[in-house]
Amino acid sequence: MIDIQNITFAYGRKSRPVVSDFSLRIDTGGIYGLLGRNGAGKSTLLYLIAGLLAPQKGSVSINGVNTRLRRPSTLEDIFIVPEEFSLPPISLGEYLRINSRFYPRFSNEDMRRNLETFELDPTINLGSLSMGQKKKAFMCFALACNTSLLLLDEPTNGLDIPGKSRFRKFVVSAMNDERTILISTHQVRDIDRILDHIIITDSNRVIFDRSVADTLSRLQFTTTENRAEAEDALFAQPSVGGSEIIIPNFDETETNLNLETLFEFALKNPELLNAQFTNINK
Amino acid sequence: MNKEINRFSLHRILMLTGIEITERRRTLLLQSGMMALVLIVVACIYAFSNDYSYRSYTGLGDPGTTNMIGTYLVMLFIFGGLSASIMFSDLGNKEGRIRMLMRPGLAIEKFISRWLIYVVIFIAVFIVSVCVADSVRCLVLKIHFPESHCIIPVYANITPEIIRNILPFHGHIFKALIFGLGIYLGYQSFFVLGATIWPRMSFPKTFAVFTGLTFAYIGIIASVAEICSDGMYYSSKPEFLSHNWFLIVSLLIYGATLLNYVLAWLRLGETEVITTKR
Repeated sequence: MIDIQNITFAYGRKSRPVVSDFSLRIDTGGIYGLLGRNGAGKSTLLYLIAGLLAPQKGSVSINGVNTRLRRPSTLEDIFIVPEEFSLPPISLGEYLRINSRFYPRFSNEDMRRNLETFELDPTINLGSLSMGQKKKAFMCFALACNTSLLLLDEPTNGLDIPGKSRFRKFVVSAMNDERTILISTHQVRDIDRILDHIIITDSNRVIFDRSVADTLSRLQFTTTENRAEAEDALFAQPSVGGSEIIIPNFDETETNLNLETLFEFALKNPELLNAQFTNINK
Repeated sequence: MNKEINRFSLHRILMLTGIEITERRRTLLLQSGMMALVLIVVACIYAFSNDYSYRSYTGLGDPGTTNMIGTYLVMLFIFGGLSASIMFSDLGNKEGRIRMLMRPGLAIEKFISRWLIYVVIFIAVFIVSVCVADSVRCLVLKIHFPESHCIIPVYANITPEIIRNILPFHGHIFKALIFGLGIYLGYQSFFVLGATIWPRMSFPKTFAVFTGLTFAYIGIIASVAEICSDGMYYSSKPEFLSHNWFLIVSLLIYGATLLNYVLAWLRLGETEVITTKR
């Protein structure tokens, strides 16, 4: 569905490329987590996917159409919730009336349900909301537009604790086989339970690109106080009361994904991590 | 289905225009109010700063009409430039650029929707503001000169006879109006183009470049004419030019206006969310 082919992008002629010969393919359906360090180019990648930036080399296409062309048919099927955005000082009702017309699959029923999830009053004035409330309102609208592709850049920034919990429920409830949600964040704990697929980037390349199911079938995530066990693990990270470790899942035990530990493992030893998925003999 | 959606759509232009007016109505109302206020102040200051003896004037019409029309025309150029300069002010920050670029629509539709507001509707708002300003001017003069019978608003001079004189397309008044409109639109089109290049501080930047280019063009044309004419200052113009100068100059002016609009549209289409130096 999203086909990124050998893109290279830099912000200036003499600047270091933010992405260099970067390729990625994202299929339709599923919640994808795009993780990376600060400054790794996650937001830039989202802008490139949305057609907001043009790569110096390569191309980005959605369903075979180059997003840089910014065709109305593509734009009405993509919605991006950026990290920072502004809303006009008008009522939510007016905002919906004038903006929903651009999205043919917009659903008033979905909007009402989304607002209930976030406990937002449908009669609010957007100009009088706090940043967190604006984010909730904007995300309600984004999901209600029912676009095939939804790009969320740091969606949990600015949300309160109940808001983060409702965000997870909110995103999962909106999923279907025809929709793809790509979440770019460094707040891995906020989204680890809702992801279907994990993409980790570093130094302008993809270092990990696997489904959660595949990851959990090959790896176990656990904690241990046994130092020897930690030393024998594929990866160990000190934590309160011991170490959080990743070990091969030889006995096909299902454990809970520890996205933070996986992220650190991918950054520190991507070759060893990816070798677990190419090694057929468990 | 996709091909139809990607075609130029008047309906979408109207929706985009509606969005811009609704989302920015407070700002637009404030700006219109400020413009009207400035026009009122200018009209009143000009009326009292000129030594028109409204008490003793015995001629026909308001003695200040001609100068007031000139003043309002100058204000039209100033406010017209300012209006065009803020046409794409929301492109001055990342949030505004994302909002505009991600809104489903062709670049030309987004351009035309803004053009309708900041060029076409602006003229209507300006005319209303002038009528209000001149009415206030006349009201204030009436209070100051209660016995005067020659205080007449400028818009009261638009009589059916004047309109009948304009209607024939070959008439001098019609030609003058078309020429004047072309000068105004041509001048304003530079600010439209400037608004897409410099979304922030567009008016001073465009004015500086426009002034510089104008002097440069005049200098180049004068130098070339000097070289080509080779002292033959009194050679006669070709007959075609003599009889059709109005048509040729108007075509040049409207052609330049259209060129600026096309460049602005193309520049808008190439806009990115973050300005990159490549």
